[in-house]
Amino acid sequence: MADEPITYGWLAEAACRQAAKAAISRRVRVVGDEVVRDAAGLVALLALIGRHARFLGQHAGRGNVASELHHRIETVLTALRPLLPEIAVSEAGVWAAAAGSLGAAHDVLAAQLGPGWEPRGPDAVALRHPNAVATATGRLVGLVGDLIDAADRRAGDLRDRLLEAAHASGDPDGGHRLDSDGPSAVVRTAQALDRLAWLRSPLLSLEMKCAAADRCRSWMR
Amino acid sequence: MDRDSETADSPAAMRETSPVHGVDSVAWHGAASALLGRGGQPSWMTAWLLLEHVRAGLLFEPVASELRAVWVHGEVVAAAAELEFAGLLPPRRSVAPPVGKDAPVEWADVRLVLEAAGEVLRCCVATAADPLATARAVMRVEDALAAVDGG
Repeated sequence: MADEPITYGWLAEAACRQAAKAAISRRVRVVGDEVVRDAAGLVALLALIGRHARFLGQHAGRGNVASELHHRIETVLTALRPLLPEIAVSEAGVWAAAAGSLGAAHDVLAAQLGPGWEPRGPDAVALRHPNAVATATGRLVGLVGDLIDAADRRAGDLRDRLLEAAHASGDPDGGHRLDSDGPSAVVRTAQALDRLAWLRSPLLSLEMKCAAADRCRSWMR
Repeated sequence: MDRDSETADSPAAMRETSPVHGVDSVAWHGAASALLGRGGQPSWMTAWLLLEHVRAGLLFEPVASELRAVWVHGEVVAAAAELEFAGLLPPRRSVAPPVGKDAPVEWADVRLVLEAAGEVLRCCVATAADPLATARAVMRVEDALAAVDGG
């Protein structure tokens, strides 16, 4: 592994593996800031994926899948931003490693282009090829899919813990009172994570479009 | 169908005696011991075999008649499907299972195999060709474990 050349594909695959590990990391306890930071880290990685998708789609022609992914992610980010603080990807907790690798992959690709988008490396031509861009986008779609699953489980876990806490206090209505007193950080975080599910349906359609371009996958390695 | 006219190794007869169909708990326990004692590198195939064995375990009474068996089954099928969609080619034939203890299949037995499947998959995330699909399978197994515990 260490002898392999560090390419865009290698770094992007590393990001997927690190995100997969983060998605199945042992669940965080409901302790105010920790929960919020974990969710904010997940969203920071999603935002980075969106920015990278925008870069991939910039010169791949009208209606390309990368631009569509960017648009879908931006819509969701707009909806959940009021509920969560924005943090830097370097502070994204378990998600930071994946964000770091994806950021490096982005830089490797960006270095292939000059300030006027003139090609400076062998991969630059691929950025104008819709099938090659679709292949790279397919990888991002898979990554977003795992983030949605992880968000879904974390949101469910937060609610379970709130209910447990309410029952433990001996008041079965405690869970409702948390909401009517003003949503706590935990409830707000769960609501924010729920909004990632809006991406599920558009992601399915994007996944099918990207799969059609799979035969060109070697272009982006 | 006339059962008497079937030979011992006809497809229908094999279905009848296969541990997959919840009739031979001794064989199920034997296969479970063999799978749990399996050494070597964790692989998708080992995880898939464990998941399939969980599915088989869910068909035995008293496990089968509980509602949670339906939930667990759904999650286990989803976990195995993640691996198959990502390119795993499951074996078409299985070998005859070794003989195990003569006892009914309980939830604790099923949980043990399910937990092992989750651990194998968790280890596979570091090496699998498709880590994202593996992580999704881990999440399905965790949901299945939660369903087992929720009963």
